[in-house]
Amino acid sequence: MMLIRRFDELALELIWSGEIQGVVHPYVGQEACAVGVCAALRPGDRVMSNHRGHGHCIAAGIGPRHLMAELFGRATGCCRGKGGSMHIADVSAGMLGANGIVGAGVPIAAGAALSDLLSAREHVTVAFFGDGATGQGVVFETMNIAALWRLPIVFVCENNGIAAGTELAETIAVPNVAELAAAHGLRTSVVDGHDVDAVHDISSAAVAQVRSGAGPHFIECVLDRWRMHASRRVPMPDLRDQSALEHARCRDSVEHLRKSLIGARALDDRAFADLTAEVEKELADAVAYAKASPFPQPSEVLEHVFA
Amino acid sequence: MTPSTIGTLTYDAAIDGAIADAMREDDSIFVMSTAAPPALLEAFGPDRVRGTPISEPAVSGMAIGAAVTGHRPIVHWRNITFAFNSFDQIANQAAKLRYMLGGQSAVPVVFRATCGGGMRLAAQHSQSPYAVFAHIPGLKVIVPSCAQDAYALMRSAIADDNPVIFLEPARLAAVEQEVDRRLEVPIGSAAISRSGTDLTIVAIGAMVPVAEQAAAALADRGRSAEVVDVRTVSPLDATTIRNSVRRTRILIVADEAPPACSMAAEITATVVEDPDTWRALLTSPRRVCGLPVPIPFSPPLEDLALPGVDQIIEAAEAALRVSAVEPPSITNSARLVKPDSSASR
Repeated sequence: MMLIRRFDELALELIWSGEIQGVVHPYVGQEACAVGVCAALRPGDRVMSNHRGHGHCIAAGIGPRHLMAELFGRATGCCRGKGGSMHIADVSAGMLGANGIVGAGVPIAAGAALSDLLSAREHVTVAFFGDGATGQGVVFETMNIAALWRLPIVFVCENNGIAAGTELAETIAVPNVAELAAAHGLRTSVVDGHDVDAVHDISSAAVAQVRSGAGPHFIECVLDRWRMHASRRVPMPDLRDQSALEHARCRDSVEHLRKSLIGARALDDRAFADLTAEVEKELADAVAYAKASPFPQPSEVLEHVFA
Repeated sequence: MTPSTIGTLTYDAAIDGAIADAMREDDSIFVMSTAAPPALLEAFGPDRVRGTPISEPAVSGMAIGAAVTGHRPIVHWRNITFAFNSFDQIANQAAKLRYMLGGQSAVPVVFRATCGGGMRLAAQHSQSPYAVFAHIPGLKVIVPSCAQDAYALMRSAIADDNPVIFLEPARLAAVEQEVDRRLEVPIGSAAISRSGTDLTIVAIGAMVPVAEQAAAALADRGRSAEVVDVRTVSPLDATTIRNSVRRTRILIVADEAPPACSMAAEITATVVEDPDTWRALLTSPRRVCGLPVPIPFSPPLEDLALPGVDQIIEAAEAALRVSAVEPPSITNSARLVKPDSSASR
């Protein structure tokens, strides 16, 4: 969680300084969701991400070096620098991809789940999406089919209350997203998305059920997006009520976990300081690795269009 | 029951036969359709022949997901108009996924649909938007014109590791032909469906038999027209098209889609941008296309909107007249200068 948070804070600094180009959608504040859910998975399971995908990537096991190199557009990036922040994937690690189109990864995830069902592989696919994806019909088409066909998929809605710049209350006519999922025949859970243990407990139960053939499950992680929707070199404005945001930052998943681990005597201040230093070291190494890596060869511009 | 190697099949039955034959050979192939074909359903059961809700975007996306995880799905959109519902999944996902992922994954999926006019189905169900798909890097686009090619190209499409848009002109569905299941047609190869020496008619899909009729009528007038069936609009077989035009020195393109940004435009550009083929031309290429209107329902209006035999003959005669007026030696030498000087600019 600390690595995810610092990775995206660093990604923002790097884009503001012009060292990386394009756009970054920071996952800061939502870390407990990716970590809690992915910790419930096992090898062979799959994850489908969205535009705000760095957290899912790290939680799914993509190393910071390959992730950072991708943001730098280098040939050592997990997509050889050809995907960038919005299209990061590591198929061999089961991470099927971030996606620049809201909701578009959801049916693709269901297709992976169908593939597993047809091959009688006991794998589970997780589709992460935000509350903004509730505006996309394809998400509900997919939920309907997943329920009909009892696909081994867990839908995880990261409800941060704001779709790009539009608040949830202005985008759906019911109080929470779970109601929409339930209407499509899914079993649903709503969980505090700042509490990694709670997310993990709910996810573990859901994944186990789905793996046993019980059909799909929907988890709504209620959490906060601490930063702007997206940032380019010039930061995009965050028009939300800043005092509400300050309040949101009190619900700090990392701090919550730190306190709980210290309370359980599983961590002390020194160990936490060591962890913090370790994260910074790993990120510095990732940036150095990315900077030292070559850009793709010019010939690669024509490669990978077709298999 | 194993089908006989050679037999007479309709265009439609040839495609169903190709899918069934491929499914017998490869368990990873499955079909999703809003109307599961009964014969396939009976042969392979509901796991592999899946009836779906009318949810084209989700079904198209699911096919992509299944394709990147080890299956070879075939999505039956039924009519190409429903592809527009799924356009995000086709243009943003299927076409780009492999490239965006730096080659990590293949996307072996076939999207099939009927297309084209002549069935009195009005504007939404009579379109020929193959150029829309051909425009998008990462997609292959096939429009077979006969049962034999429909069989062979469907086999090639299923075997291909890339997303393939397989378009079936609805007018051809019931046309019968002897089909040899052993014949292979690679994606990206055009065919000379009728040989000739005086002009080349490059035709797409349902316009191929129309072009052949026009060629037969021209033969009665002593004109020898060659008909090139493109078969695959993306990738386009530029070599076969250019070679034919270099021999006949006149190009007519017959395409029932409207002309703007069409395959007819692309084929014309493919011919004229090649210096050797350009030099060989006796006159400017002519496009015989559909009118730039939504296809009307009223039968006489639809007939006006779609190009037919007469327009192809008219274009051919006009081209032959002009080329006869301009003596080839003068035209050629004049033109020899142009492309070279423009190329050196």
